[in-house]
Amino acid sequence: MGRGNAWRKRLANPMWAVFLMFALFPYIPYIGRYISLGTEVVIWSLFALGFNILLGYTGLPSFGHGAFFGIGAYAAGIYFLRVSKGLWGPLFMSALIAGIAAALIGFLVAKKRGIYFALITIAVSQVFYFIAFRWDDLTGGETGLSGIDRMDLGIPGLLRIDLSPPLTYYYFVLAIFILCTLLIWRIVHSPFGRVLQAMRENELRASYLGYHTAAYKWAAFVVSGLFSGLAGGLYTLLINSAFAFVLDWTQSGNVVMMTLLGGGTVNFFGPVLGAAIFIVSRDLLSAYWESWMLLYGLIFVVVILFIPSGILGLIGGRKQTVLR
Amino acid sequence: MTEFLSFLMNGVVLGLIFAVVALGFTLILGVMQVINFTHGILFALGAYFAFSMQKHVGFWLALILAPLLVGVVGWLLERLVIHRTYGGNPLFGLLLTFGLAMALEEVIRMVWGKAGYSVAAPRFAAGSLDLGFMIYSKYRLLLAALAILIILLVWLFLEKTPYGAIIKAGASDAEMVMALGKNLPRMRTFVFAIGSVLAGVAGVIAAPIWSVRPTIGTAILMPAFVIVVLGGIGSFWGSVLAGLIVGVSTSVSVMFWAQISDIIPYVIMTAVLLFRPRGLMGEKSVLEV
Amino acid sequence: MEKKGSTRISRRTFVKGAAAGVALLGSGAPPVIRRALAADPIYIGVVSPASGNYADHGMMERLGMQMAAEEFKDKGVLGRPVKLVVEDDETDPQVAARKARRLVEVEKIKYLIGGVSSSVAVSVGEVAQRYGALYIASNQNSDTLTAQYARRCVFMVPPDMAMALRTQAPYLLEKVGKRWYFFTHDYEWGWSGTKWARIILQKAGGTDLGESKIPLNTRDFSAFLLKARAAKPDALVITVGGVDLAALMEQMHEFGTYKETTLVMTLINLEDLWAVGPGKMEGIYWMEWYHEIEAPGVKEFVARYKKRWPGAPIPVPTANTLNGYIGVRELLRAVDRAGKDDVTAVIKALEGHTVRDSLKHDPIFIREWDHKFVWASYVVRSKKPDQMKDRADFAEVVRWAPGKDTVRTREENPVNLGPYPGQ
Repeated sequence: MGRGNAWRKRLANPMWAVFLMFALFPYIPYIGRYISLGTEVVIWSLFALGFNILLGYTGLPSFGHGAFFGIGAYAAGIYFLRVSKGLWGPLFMSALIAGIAAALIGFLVAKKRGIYFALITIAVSQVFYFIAFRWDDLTGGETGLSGIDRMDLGIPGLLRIDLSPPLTYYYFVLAIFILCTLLIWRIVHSPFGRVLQAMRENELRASYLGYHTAAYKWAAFVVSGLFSGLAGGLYTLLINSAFAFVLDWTQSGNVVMMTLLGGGTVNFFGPVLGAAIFIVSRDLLSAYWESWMLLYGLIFVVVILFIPSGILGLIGGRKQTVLR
Repeated sequence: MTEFLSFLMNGVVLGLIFAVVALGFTLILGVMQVINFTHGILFALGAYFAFSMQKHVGFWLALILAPLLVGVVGWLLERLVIHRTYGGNPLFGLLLTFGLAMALEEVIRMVWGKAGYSVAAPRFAAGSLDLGFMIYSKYRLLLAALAILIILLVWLFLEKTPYGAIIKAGASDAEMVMALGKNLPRMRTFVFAIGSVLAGVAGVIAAPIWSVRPTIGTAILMPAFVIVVLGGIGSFWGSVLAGLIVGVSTSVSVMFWAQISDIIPYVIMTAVLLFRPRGLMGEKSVLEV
Repeated sequence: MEKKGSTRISRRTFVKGAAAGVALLGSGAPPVIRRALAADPIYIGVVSPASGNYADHGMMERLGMQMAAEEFKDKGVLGRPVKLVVEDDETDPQVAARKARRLVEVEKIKYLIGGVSSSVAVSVGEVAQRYGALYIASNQNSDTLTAQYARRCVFMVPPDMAMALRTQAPYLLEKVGKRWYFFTHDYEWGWSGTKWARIILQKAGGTDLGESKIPLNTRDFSAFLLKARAAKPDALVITVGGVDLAALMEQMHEFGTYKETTLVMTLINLEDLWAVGPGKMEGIYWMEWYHEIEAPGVKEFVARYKKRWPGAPIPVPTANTLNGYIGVRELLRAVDRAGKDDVTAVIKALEGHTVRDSLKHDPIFIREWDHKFVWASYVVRSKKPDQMKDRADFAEVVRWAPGKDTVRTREENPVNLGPYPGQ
């Protein structure tokens, strides 16, 4: 009985609907033909889910997360161009290096919270932007890195899939996204995740209960950085290049906005919805109106003022619990 | 030596502009706990207003009128939208102003166009001056003097007027101000307007050396962040000191290793944070809880 | 010109003036409807800055592109109408790549053109190469696009920095002096300007007085100006671009630098001069083209421009306009020569082709091994405000050099473009 219930619960998880929707995306008429846009949505969804470990589950308003995405993007590119041309190497490095960067920055911010946390993450993340822009020998400076190919996916002698067509790469990214989503789901629903949420509700109480809150925050920061970095690596392979512009602080703003817009603070899948709406609407708006940024900026304002718990918060009719 | 002096002077001038911008920023942050992303746009608006006005009213009148107009814009923004985020999650104020800044930058493009303009220094301050030990731009000397004057005025205002005392109290304890029967919402609007005026005036005086374009607002924003973190949130002298440190270190590092000049302030900031987590002159404040 | 921008604000601009029959459709329109309008038009995707630091340059190149497209409005190409689809690259390589990808992936466009900044050109070139589309880099001047970033699917219209300095430096040695100081914008394009100048100076036995590397986004040049002045050079050789250049010019005026030394711009665009205004900048510049040169067809071209764009912000065509014009025109002619709408065939039709009506003093030769358009460029001297006959008349041409004498040889720049698309 109990076991059957658990399975029913698992199957009722909206996760499967999300995965199915993404899997069918290329066959949706009209929008499905722009596969790279879909890939971008999936990548940003992963980024936003990773980011939401911090914002939604730990309650830490990081405003410098674009740095980890960017570091991942460059790590993949540099590893590919300088060390070894492969598929998994660059992706592994993108997560690893971003994780290391997060670990270092984590030391600076782990004891902070609230607005101070936001301010310091913004400021510190800028360092990486300038490094990317200035360290020409490593990052290609202003011109960036290019010529980063997507190598074949395969098991030697058995299977070989050419990832250079947009469609196969889309499904490759989707597969990684699904794995990561399951992983993130596990993390936030594990005892570790519960401590994070306890800290979000009341850090003081969590520390009285004997949890070393700074260590937990640091760990959350690192885990979040890892996924963000991996998303950056996937992005580099999507555009076959890496540019300093990915490290711009507006990217950090965008991921926060996606997460909030979709309702990341009340629902695990909020960031995915937010990323999809954000990226598709940017594409459409910028196609039809030259001053679309005006509208875009105002959308931020409207969301914050009227639906701060995001679309899923609005639909779910749930009172938002995370951000107060 | 002369070369070093001129880099140093430039750093000081730059630092003074930064300090004026950061003062307004930290005032708003300290009192309202809002990371105000529109601060850069207010700076840009100051520059643009002055650019449009100077042809008609001259340098001095524009120096007064343009910041006041920016103050009005700030007042409107605060009254219409920003005040709604007070007391909420810090991310709300931050994202709201982030969106507003985006929209306003677009408005600047719509009104003044996409390209930049150069703004002439007033005629009496054009050219350079022989100081004996070095030759230096007259306008920059004027700019430094103006910036120092503004910083002193702000200090006098905060220290010597009752309003200043309330603002300082508001920064550390909003409830107490309420309990004292002061009108907190009005005070906040006022502080926001003052902060806007400071951003605006910095924009006006910086315009002739930087020339105006829609992106100058975002360009000034990051130094302001760094300065506030470095100096300590809500600290007056912390902001001035950090402004000078950022200005001078940026400028002098150009002399030795230009490539890293814009990373230097961040490196200093990070180093300071390691040893003094609240910045150079920061104290434990309400913002941390 | 190699240009950089840190802009993030963006939009797509539709070039106005579809009256001439060259309908410009945004890519937002469903292709199904669009394809039904006429007998399969030939689409050219224009990826060009309408915002960001080079919005003004981008606009000027788009005016030229449209003039070229309009030349084909009656006869069409291969009996098909021509349409330009304009996308704003926002002076951001990442955005440019996204827009380009969209054009080729969704709209199935085979030909791309545009790119004012070198980083944008590199990123669009990358997309073109991967999707087997043809990209014509219309306005970036970096050497690298035909060197390490050279691709089979990429062509480069404007002269590069090697050609710039090989045209300009001999004139400086002759007329100005042999003691030079350098201002180098601290990135690839800036370095290449100073590099080529130094090579020539060294050969001539001149004195290299030093260099100031100027970081991108520098607003305050006074320290550099003082340092340069202390060196007392005959020529201050400046390779600084974009927004920073406007600020630099302003401050050189402020410090009266031009009174003591000759200011030399290794590359300047009329757009930059126009933005700063007359009388602010005295010196010797290298320009790709100037609307007052006495080459065949130039007068007519300028007249046509004035008639076609009476309200244009700059009343005369600039080098950006010319390059945009030549780029689209030669692309369409190549499609015509190829006899089919096929990228490989068009690439082959462009390779090794000679263009007589180049609107410069020499014909264009399109080199088959590095895809560079080889043609002349010009050294000009600034005019004082009282010598100018109108507001756009900034300079007089003092020298020109044919492209074939200044361009890098195959020995200097051995590149391999790789296979043709689909092979």
